[in-house]
Amino acid sequence: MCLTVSPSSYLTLSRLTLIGLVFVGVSSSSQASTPSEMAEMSLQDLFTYTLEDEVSTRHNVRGWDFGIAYKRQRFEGYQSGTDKLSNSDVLFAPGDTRTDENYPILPTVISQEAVVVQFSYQFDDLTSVSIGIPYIRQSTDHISVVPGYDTFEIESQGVGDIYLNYQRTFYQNAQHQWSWMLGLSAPTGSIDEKGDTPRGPGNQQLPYTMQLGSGTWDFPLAIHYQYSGDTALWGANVQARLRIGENDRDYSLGNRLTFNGWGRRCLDLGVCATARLSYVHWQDIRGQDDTIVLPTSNPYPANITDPDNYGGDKVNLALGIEIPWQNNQLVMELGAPLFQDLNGIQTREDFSVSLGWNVALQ
Amino acid sequence: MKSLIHGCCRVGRRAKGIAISRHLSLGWLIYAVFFWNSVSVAEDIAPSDKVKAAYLLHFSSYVSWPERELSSVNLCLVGDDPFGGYIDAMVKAKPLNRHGQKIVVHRLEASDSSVHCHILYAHFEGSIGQNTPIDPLQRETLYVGDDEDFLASRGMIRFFIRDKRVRLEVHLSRVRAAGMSVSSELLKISDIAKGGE
Repeated sequence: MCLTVSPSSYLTLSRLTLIGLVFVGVSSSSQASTPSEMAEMSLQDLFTYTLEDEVSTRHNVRGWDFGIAYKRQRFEGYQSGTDKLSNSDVLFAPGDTRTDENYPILPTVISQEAVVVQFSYQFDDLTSVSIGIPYIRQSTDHISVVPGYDTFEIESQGVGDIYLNYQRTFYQNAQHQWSWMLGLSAPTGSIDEKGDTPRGPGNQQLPYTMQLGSGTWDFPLAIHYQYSGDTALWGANVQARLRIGENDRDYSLGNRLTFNGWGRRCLDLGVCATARLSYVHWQDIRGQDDTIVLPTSNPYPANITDPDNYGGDKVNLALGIEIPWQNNQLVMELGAPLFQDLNGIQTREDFSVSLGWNVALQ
Repeated sequence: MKSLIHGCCRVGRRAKGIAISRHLSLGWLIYAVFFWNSVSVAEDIAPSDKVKAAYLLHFSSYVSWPERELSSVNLCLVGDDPFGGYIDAMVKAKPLNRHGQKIVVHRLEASDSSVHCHILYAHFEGSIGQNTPIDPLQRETLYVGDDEDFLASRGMIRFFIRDKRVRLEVHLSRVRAAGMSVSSELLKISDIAKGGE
């Protein structure tokens, strides 16, 4: 596996390193509950000091958590930048001029499902490690102008990229909590998925969207902030997914940067409603899998085979509900994009849904 | 990970590789993360225990002992120590109480009476209370604990959690019977135990 650093990755790493070093300085100078600061607190300060965070997390201290989540995303319809396109705008028809904006094969509906099994170990109320194993199933409906392939569906399924995350709270008091997360995602998901496509007889290598993994060692990073208000929890986080080098098929999926703002308010019965607003920026694919292109002047038979048709910017809104009982918690979330600005010609995200169950093991 | 360290190999059509030395940037990030981690290790104390530690140090200022010209106040920790080095760091940061008396922290076995404890905090995992093994030889000692039954026997001040805050319950008559007095400032923020008026 090739592990070089692309210029954009390097730039992102450098910036993140700088940000990380800045936060090192901040963290060691802004602890509100250091021994010296606690020693300076008056009786009245101690009397009003709330233990919000400790009460909410105490059940997790030193122990295993198990979680399983089902996630689904659906893509349908086309868009270039912010302009919506119909299928007929994108499908090349015999007699038309073949360009890099029309294709003889057209995915119409892309469905991606994942079941993620996650085990976490909470060392204390500040530190945890988790490992996640995703099982992915993907399917794409197509139309095409290739005889015998007017409509067809391709599928792939299997284990995706297994990840290991380390999360650490570096600052917390009664109302504010800051934590960071550093992860490692291993290239355990297949990038050699094959299926019957109109490119030729038998099975051929499938496009990027149908592969189960990135093929590269990836680094998920995040910084989280949480504010405990009188009636609700509020939070924000920035997450990055940095992909190092290229995979064995000479490409690398784009880096990804996500900003989330969220709120959670609980009712008397303990049921909580959540809302999350996200901004996502992701890059196009660097490099190319030469086995999915044609040796012609227009080498891309479908938009999803062109590396330039990946990446963009998106704003999503998701609403959810959390239902706790004993050591268990059910989480449901339904999301949809409010805004999409897509590179090249891509299928639009339609909606996403996730269902999860977590249990604190005793 | 071995290949990650030793690097390699092909350069893609569009992705131009950069020398392995550039991986140092990632190395700095990882270093920063773990340095950061080491900075905050000393903070792994439950918030309630931090508050309790601060209260214990304040007791030396807001409780009076019959002993005259007290130059130092001995704070004894008996049983499991929930504070670790945190309380020592607090004392190091502020070694004297409001009266200029030095605060000295001792960690004792339950039967150890070699030190006269002015304040004795008893903390035992699991059930503690009437059977808490506190040395009966300790006199003029402010007994502090957490257990619900702590005030039922010899306890004088009990920590408890209410409305997500650490609260105090004081058995005032027992404190007075031992020859000590509690300032009105401390009593103002405390509950008085039933039968302990």
